[in-house]
Amino acid sequence: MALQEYKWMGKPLKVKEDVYPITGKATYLDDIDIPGTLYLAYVRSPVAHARIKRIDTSKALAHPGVVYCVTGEDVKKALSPFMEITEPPNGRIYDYPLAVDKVRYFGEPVAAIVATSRYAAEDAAELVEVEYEQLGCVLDAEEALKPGAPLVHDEAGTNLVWRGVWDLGSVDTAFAQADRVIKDKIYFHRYAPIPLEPSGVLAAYDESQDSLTIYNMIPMPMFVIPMICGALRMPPSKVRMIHPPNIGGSFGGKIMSYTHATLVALLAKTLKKPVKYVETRTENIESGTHSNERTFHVEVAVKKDGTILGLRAKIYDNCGAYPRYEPAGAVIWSQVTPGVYAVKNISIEFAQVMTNKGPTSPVRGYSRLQHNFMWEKLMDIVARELGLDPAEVRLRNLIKAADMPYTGPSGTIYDGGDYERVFRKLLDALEYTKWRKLQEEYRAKKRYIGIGFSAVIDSAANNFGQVKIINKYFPVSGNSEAAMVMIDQGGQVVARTGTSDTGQSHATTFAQIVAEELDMDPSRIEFQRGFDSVSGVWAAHSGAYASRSAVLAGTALALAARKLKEKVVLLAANLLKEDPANLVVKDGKVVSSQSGKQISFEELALIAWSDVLLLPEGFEPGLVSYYVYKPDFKNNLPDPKNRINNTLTYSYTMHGTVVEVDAETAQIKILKHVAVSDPGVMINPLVVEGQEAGAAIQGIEAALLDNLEYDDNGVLLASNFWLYPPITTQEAPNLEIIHDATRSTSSLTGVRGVGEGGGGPVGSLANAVEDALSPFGVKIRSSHLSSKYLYSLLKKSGVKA
Amino acid sequence: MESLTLLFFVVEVNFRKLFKLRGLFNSKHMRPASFSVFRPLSLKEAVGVLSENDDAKVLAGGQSLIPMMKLRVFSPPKLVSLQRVKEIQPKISDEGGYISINSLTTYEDIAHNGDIRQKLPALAKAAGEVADQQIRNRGTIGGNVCHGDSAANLGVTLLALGATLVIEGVRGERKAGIDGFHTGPFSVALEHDEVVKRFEVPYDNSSKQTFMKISKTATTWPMASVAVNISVSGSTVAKARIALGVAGPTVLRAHRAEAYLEGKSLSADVVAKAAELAVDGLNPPSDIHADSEYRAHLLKVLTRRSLESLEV
Repeated sequence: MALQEYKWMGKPLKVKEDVYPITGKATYLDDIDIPGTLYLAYVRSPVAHARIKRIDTSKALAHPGVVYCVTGEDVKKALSPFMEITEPPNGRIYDYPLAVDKVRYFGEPVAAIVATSRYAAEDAAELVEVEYEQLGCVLDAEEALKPGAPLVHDEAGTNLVWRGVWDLGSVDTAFAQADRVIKDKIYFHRYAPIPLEPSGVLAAYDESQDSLTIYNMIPMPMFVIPMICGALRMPPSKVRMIHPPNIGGSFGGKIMSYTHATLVALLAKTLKKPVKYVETRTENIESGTHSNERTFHVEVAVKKDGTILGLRAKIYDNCGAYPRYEPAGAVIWSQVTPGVYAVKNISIEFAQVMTNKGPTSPVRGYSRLQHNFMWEKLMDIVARELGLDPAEVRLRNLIKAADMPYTGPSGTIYDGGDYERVFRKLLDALEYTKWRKLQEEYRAKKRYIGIGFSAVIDSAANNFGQVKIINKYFPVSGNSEAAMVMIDQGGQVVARTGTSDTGQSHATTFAQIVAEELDMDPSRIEFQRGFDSVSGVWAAHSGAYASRSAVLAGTALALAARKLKEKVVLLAANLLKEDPANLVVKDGKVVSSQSGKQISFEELALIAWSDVLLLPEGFEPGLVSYYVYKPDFKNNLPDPKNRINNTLTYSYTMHGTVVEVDAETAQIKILKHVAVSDPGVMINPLVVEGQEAGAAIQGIEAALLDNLEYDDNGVLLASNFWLYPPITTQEAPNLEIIHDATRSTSSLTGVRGVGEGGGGPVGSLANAVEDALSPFGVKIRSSHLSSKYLYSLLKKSGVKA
Repeated sequence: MESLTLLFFVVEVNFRKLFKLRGLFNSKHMRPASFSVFRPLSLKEAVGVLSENDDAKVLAGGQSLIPMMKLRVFSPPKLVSLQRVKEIQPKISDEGGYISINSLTTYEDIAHNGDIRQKLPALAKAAGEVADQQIRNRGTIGGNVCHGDSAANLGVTLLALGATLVIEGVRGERKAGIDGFHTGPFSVALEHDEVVKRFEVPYDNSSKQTFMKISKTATTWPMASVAVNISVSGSTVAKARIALGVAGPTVLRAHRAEAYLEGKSLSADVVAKAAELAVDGLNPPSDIHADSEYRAHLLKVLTRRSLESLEV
């Protein structure tokens, strides 16, 4: 099958919008100034769990420049609590932008100061006196479920947010047929997404209209409107959501900034003044969202040859103090239930639990990367137990190309690809056999090399119907995205969509999609960045999340452009007096293949927009078309066994890492890293590679550097870049990225979403390090490989330094 | 950016209140409390301003102090910026037997200076391995040493190299050896009205030296660092200086290891024994990246590897 039968798509065009951030000309939220703006600073909790006995704001209010001070008591009166996905009693959680009565995690906002400058607000925040009565805290998900554990939300009566059971295939039979049953426990740690630009919001109130304008960077602006407007008790029509032209990354975390948006909007309305808040880096790390921390108790049924017959797992997910977007993560892992493997018999009991840690929410690879990690650890555990090569075990279990599109045990429809071919390409590119030989030779010299693999599926363009597994009454399903394409009065092609770019190069790639439909150079297409709920186009699901933009916004744009093209041809046919069948749209004109007569977009636009009496009968003035795309997921809604096709596309990447571990100092050095992926049809290979490299580096960072470590009292020990070091080019290894692209069988354009990448190297690094240290019998069961953790393992195994 | 290690030493020596340890964990700030700045043009002016303002703090390149102020870990009401002081502008000169380095000389200048690379390679390496390019462009040798952080690359290296500090105060100029200059966490043997003018770093042709560190990333402070400086005579060690970073409240010399090495040739056994002695009885601080025992182990390994790497 011809993969790229495209002319303008698939070209590695330079990313035209990159010049603005690089030259300092980009406009971010904090660059937007409204005269008279006031600035907010939070007072945050220094303890994990405590009753708030008293808050004294008098000294803060007396500080020069301070205008207002607000506490949990105040917001409780002014706001309704945020909506919860879970039904009561577990859903009896009263979540406000400021702590009410109790603080539930270290860093939780307790009060907010509004002042004429951010400096004054921060000065005054130090003057607020809060008296806490400390309560026992609970930090571990399994501990939190034990009787007598401190309750994070007393009203819920339990720390369990939601528990679900998936019983897929014939698990008991699989275990009865097994040669071996292997049991183990695997842990995935908690980290933060760390966008370059922390979250922020600027809200302005228009008293004459009783309306609010909220400048924000929430990647799903209209989806969180029910949260914000529900809390503010205002109709959505009174709230205008605007994104600045540039957003400095999100990786999911900014979705949760609706709590800031709600408070800032409330204050703007109360004070009748614009109010701005931008997170500090510390605030971003502490509570700008964490990834899901998860423990897997697994049992696998295997044949002697490494074939996996079945899996039983009890999974505990620690979502921190407030569920917010959760418990969505408690079903989202089922987008990749069997990973890339043809395992049909799977039984999973999944419990999501609240603790006194920071709240979690979507983080790049949300909920699937943990699940992928479990599978990739399992492959190596099985290989080691059976004395097999981990590459061989993978090859034995991979889903076969002949079975594509592949319906998995939980109803997902994997949309094509050749997993085995991709894995073999990885083995070649990594020079697997060479490194295995070197490994032997080096060991004789007391040097420890290890090789590890991991495969991740980047399931993309989500079906919100999966939330109905948690709460069948929750009014959301499917997905939709809006697009507008027009030829303006000057003949310029202009395109917009409801998803806004947080660094994914939409202006370049979306222009390529429209260019493909209209067969014209993409540089002549103006794609308008940003989001505006009043002047832009949007659907309720609009946004850059769940790797959905390329697939959903891209398809909506293609279909809108196609509609526009029909209109252009109709008008041209009428004006040129030609049969529409003879007309070709190309390079900004319509040309007759018969007579050679032509008419340009400029000429057509003048007539269509302004010289409207020349228009044919029934032709609506203007050259503009809209399309709202709603994909069919086939298995659209969950069945009683929780089976659903949770996303539209399933790109996948296989990573191979070679490391050398210094067994004396417990330092890890990456010698080689190769990723082979199938991103589907690529709109722009440069952009795809950028996403893949970013995902790989973020995975390496998570595995080697970043861990949100709390002490026993729930105090976060790593909350700024001194203690939570971000990866830089000095630490990042060279990456080799190879594509093995096949068309998606599900998306109209053949494109697959690749925005997340799913933390692939987390698994390959853990496996490579375990492989390197196998002479010492070191077992790695954690996703975070800090040197102190490795050192403790090495010491336990008796390595003599 | 490698200066907050001290805050962890603080736990060990119980100076909690002094350095607002909890301030580091609890600080949500990115904006400093208000402060005023003096910008003297000469050393005389600088020490004069200092002597008249007990609450002023000296600012050099600002690569440690400014981030601490932004986090409000430390909020001095007054700063005396040395940036315009003419006598201490960046300058490196070979004075025969020692290299003179003015205190505003940046890490970048030091890392790339031909004389330093040739005669004081450990110092060139230590300066070149400070954090990232932006910090190396701004951070100064004077600020690094006077900040009194035991994790600072240059502090530990200059201790091994036996540098002399030339200090200007209201009462005039004095010289001080680097031994004893570091008196505690963030604390050095300078009077409030004194400023370090320059460093005189001795070299000799028989010296073999290096600097090594292990850190989580280039921009975090080291988990452990070591500088060694060995003078050889024939095939044996005539004189040894070994300095350990992040090993205690200040940069420390491994006196017992040094004494042990003198008169010996650097065989594998001797080097291993010296490394053992270097950390014997040591009680390094703990932080989230390494506990005391692991840190001591790293210091031992680095000492051994540093000595092994010398071409004697």
